[in-house]
Amino acid sequence: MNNPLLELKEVSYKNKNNFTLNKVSLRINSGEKIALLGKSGAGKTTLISILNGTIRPNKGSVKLFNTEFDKLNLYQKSKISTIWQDLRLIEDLSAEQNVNCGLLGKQSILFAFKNLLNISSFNKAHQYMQVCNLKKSIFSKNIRKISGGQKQRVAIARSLIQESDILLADEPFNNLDPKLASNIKNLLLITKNKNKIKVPCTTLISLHRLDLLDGFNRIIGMKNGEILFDLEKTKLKKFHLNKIY
Amino acid sequence: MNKLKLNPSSITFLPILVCIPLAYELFINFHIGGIELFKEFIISALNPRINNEIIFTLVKRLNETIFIAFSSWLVSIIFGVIFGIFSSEIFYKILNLPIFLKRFLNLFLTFIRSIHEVIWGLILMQIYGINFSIGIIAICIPYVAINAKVFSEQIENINPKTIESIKQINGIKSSTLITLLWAPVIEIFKNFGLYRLECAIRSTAVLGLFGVGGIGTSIFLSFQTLNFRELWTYLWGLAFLIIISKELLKKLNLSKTSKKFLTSFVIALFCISLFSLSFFFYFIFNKNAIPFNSINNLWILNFNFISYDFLKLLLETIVLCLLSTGIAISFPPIFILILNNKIGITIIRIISFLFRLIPPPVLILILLMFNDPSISLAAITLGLHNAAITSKLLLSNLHNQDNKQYIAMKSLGVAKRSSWLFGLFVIQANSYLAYCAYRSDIIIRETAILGVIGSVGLGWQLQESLSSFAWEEVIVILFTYSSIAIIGELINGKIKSNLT
Amino acid sequence: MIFSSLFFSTLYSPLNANPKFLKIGAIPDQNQEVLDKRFNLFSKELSKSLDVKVKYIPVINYIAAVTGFRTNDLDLVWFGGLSGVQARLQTPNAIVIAQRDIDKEFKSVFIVNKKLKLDSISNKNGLKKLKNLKFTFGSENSTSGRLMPEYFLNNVGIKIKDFKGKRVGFSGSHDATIALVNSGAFDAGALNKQVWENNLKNNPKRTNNVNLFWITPNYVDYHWVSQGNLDNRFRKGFTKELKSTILNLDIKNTEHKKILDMFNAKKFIEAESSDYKNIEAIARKLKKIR
Repeated sequence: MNNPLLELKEVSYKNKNNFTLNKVSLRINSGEKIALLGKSGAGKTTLISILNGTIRPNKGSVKLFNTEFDKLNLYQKSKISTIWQDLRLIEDLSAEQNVNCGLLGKQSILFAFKNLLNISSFNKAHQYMQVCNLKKSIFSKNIRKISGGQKQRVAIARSLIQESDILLADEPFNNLDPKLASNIKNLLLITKNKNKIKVPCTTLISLHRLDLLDGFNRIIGMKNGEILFDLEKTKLKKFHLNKIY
Repeated sequence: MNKLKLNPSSITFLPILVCIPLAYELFINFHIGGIELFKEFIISALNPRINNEIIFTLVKRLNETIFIAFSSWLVSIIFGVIFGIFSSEIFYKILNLPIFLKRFLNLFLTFIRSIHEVIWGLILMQIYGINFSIGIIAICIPYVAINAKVFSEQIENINPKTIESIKQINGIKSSTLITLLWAPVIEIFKNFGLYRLECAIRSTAVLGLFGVGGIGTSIFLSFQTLNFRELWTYLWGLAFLIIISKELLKKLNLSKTSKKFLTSFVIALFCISLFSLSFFFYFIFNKNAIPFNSINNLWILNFNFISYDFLKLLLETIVLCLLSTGIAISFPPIFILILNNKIGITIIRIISFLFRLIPPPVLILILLMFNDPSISLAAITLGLHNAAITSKLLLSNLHNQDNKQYIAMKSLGVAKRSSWLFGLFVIQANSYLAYCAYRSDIIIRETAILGVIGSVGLGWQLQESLSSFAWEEVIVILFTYSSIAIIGELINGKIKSNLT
Repeated sequence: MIFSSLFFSTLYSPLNANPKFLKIGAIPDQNQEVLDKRFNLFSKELSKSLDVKVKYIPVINYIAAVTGFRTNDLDLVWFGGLSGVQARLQTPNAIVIAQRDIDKEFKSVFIVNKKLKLDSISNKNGLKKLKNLKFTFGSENSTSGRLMPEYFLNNVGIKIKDFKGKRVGFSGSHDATIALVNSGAFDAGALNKQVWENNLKNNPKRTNNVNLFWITPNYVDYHWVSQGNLDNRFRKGFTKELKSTILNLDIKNTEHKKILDMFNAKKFIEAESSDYKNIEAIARKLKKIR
């Protein structure tokens, strides 16, 4: 507990749409695999947005590597990657170009340019896409033209290719069939795997499906913008779940 | 009863109400005294003058037109994209720049847009004399501003969530920016940029101001002497050019081209922009500007000038703009809705092509053969010309659009017209309105060249002041034009923010 | 950047900087073909007899012609009465070279639509009958289509605001004036007498519904105006040679006859800037010159 990666202190957030957080405090340490549970509208997405710095809390402070978010440089910020609930891929671009976008943090503007012109190298992107069970045939397909589950995996590949330290994922298994879902979950949770790709060692994944809780070592339950429980996987009891659902 | 709810689709249909006063005024002023001339005009269309001499002139003028139109189109697209990005919110969001810069730039662009290219040409000519490049620069100046507006408006349509997600990757700001903007810009370029080429070609038809003015010179002169057969030879030549250039550009499909071609394309674009920029600087600094000999009395404003009459003209101009914008917005969807089958659409395409082709001054003269000069007549002329343009955009956007929802509606057993309305048009309504908004800017500046015959609005006063070389008046009028445009823009923004 | 600047300076220098070209221009009052033919023939003749390169630069409106002359882009221009005065006021040292025989006694005509059943008048006081009608001039800067007619109307006390709607139309050209009055869109109009007679002869259909109302008294119109520095630029006495070349165009010479025919003239005659003092005074009164 001496050196938290991410730290929220008494964070409150309120906006017009009433997605609220109420005095949430949270510490995430290196190597933790956290599952975030809660009903729809409990504040999971807001929490994730605050964790990755997309929205600023009205009150309280967010620290990454013990530094205020505003004071981080781009390199430090790029240590967080996010899989959004609504994916947020760039339509009009192909799947592989979208995955390559994940490399923008490490590459120069020339790379961005080449990527758009479709003349950059896609080797790395292909490697990550294959890991995510995407077939070769869809690599160069336009995002508009692939199915929901395929899009989901493209988004996952895009976040993995960033090779970040922390992965925040907002319901990443939504569009996947049960077998794929558990495959992907294993991929996200196991640091070193046979594919020799680097997976962030710290993860926070929000999810609904309780059958996928294996492999996590910490469970956080949320309700109405507050954290109801925050405990180790082994201590999770049935009544905890009843409280939040 | 439910209150009428305003949404993009209803707003596109509502302006049809302007037809009530229009039809009334046109109806009471109707006469058929000019039937002979009209017959002559129509017959000449089928029987243009063709002989060696005229074909020779035609080819020569077309060559000039191609050159002027193509270069001004390229330059205005490239700089339109650049300024469009500069004046879009994303740019300031990603680079964390103060937003007032954007407002300032927008104001500046509106000012530039609201002044007709012919007027720009005349003003530049006062400073630089008769010069071939003025023709191009005069077209480019307002076109850059127009393109900038269209591009920035479409760029604002990018889903803000996508912006956040790419921002989250935390790459260099500039690479984030181009990654986000690339696809939309290419998309707009496909839908809109190619169509701008047609505009540029048509614009040279109005512009023909200077020695090497392209086909506009010929059209204007033959129209001036009412030499209809000659006029049609030139108009058909222009039509031919527009069609050919469109077909050629269609072949150039950006998404299917090879990588090598794309790279060279980008390099070429880069070179052209560098080249035109350096040309611009060369032009400004190397050419000795001729002293504006009336500059001294430029600031001694004649306050008598801004009198009751001036206010009346101003009011007329505003009414004229509103009426013709109403026609330009509402006619295309209504006609497409009514004539919603293959033959009907083809008829609309042909008619709108003709209305685009015939320059508004010619159109108004022909309409005057049946009607007395009035605001309504000027409004219907401008309105029809612009409706022809908006209908083209609407048709091509509808054509490019995914028709999933249309098919879904039809499979529910909804009538063809209703399913067109809800399955195709509703989706398109928002961007159609955005195009119309910028069209209204163009209508404002077109009143400058149209108001003369019917002596309606400020256009007449502008011509009179220009031809008397009364620059202090010209400046007042131009500022009035821009203020109309700016106010229009503000109202537009209000409507838009109320809709969303 | 530097490269392209150099490129442009080489590209444009011949057109702008070469003093050895005599650049002639004209106000565009005819159709393309006539203008091109007329001034190309004329350029050829000048080039032959003066032994300089002559280039005809077409311009599309009165304003451009005046401005082009002021900015030294045109050396010798065929101006109308008003535009010539405007150009000379803006360009000091400009010289009036010549006018046509017909320009000394130029006339405009007033026409009315037949439906009004107005008989033609012999005295200018009859113009008062035009009050409260829809009236159109030609182009705003035309001497015969606007300036002089407005002057004659003012003479008998008719101001623009005395017409219907307190305004007048500007059809843009003489032919358009005929067409608009013929159709009934306007009740009456004023235009160049030459164009009117031309239309009567060649286009009877277009003048079906129009009656001649009044023919104005004589005034001076079109003239050749040249820059004052031609002697410095070409050779001593060049302006004089130019003048005599134009004045010596002879209708008996077949080559010359072609040119004169294109100008609708029998010959060119001497003209002085003082001939146009009257036009200037009228233009100032009507605020076309300020």
